[in-house]
Amino acid sequence: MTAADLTPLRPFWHPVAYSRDVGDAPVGATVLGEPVVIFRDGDDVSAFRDLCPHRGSKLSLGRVIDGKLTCPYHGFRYDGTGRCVLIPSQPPDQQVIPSRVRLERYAAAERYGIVWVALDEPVQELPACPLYDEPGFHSFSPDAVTWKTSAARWMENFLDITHFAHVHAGILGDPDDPVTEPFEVHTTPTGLRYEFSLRQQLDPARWPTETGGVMEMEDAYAYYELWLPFTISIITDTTEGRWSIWCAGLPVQPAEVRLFFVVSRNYMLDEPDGPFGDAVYAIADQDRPITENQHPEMLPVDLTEEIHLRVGDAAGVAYRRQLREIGLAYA
Amino acid sequence: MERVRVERELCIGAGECVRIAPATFQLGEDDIAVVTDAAAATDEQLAEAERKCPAGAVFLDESE
Repeated sequence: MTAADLTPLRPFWHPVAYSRDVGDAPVGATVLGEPVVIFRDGDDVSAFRDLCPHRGSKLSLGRVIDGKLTCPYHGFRYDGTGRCVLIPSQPPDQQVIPSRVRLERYAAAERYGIVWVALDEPVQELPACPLYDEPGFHSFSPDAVTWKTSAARWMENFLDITHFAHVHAGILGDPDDPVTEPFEVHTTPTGLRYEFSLRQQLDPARWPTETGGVMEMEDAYAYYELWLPFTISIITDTTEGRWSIWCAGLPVQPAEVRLFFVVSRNYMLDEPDGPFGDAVYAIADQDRPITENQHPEMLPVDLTEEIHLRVGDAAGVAYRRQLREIGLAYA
Repeated sequence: MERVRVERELCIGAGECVRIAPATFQLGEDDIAVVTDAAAATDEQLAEAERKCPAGAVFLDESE
C-alpha cells in the first residue's frame, strides 16, 4: 500500500453534492480521485464513473434527456442502471447496443439534503444527523467549501478541542483559559462520541444571539459524535438554546477535502440563516490555514509518527486507531 | 537514578515500549505502561522505546 492509498475508504458513504444542486443537469464530482457523475431521474439519484466507455468523454458535461444521462460527445443515452438505451447514430429501428457499452455504477443515496456515493458495496449505514429531523429545530446548509488538506487532517482538527483557545479566541475559546479537563472518549460501532464542559462565551459579533449580547456557554456541554470516516456532529447547549454544526467531508483526493454542512438550531427560528452560516465559515477560515499547512499532508495513522497528549489528544488518538482498523496507513 | 521510567501522566497506552522491550515494560490494568525490570532490556531497546513512544512518555537516565 502506498502512503496515499485510500482504497479502504471505497466502501464508505461519501457526500458528493447538495440535493439542491442536482437538478436537470448531471453533476460531476471527484471521490477518492475517481471521477463520478450523478444525475436525477424523478425521485431517484444515480451515480456512475464519469466516463462514457465509447470515447472516454465526461458524462457530467452532458445533459439529462427524457430521464436518461446523455453523453455530450455522441449522444449515447444511459438509464438509471447504467445501461445504454440509445445510440443516436444508429437508425432507430436498428439499435444494436454493444455489450460493453455500460456504465460503472456506484451506490447512491440521498439524505439530509445531500447526495451520497459509495464506490464499493457500502459496509455501513449512512451517518446520522441527529437534529436534522428533530421537532422544534431548523436546519440549513451553507455552501460547501474545499480545503487543500486531507480529509483526516480536517477531521482531526474538528475533533481537537485544545486548539480552541489559540485558533478560535473570541469565538470558541479563551486564550486566558486554555486548560482542558480530562474527558472520556467512547468508541461506538460506527465511530466515536465524547462530551466535555464548555466555559467560554461566544462573541456576539461572531455568533448571532437574540439580544445581540454574549452567548454564555458557562457550564454547558458540547456533545461530539463522529461517524467513520469523515462525518462529525457537535451539539452545544447555550443560554440561547441548542445548536449544532454537522459536517461531512468528501475525500476528493489525498490532500483535498470538500465539506458539506448542516447547521441546526432551536432558537431565533424566524431570523435569517445567513449570519449563522457566516459564523461557521469564520470558524472554518481560522482552522483552514493551519490544516492546509500541516506536514505531512496526510494524517499518519501510526501513532509513533507524531506526539500525542493523553488528555488533549484523546479523541485524535482514538480516531487514528479506528482509521488503522479500517486499513489505512495515511488518511 | 533508575535506568528508565514511564511518565504515567503522559502515557496513552499505545504499547510501543512493550512491543520493543517486553521484558522491561508492561501495560497495567489501566492501560498505562509500567517498568517491570529495567535491567532486562538492552541500551538499544530502551533508546528505541524512547524514540518511538507516541506520547514521549519514556524517559532514559542520561547520567550513565
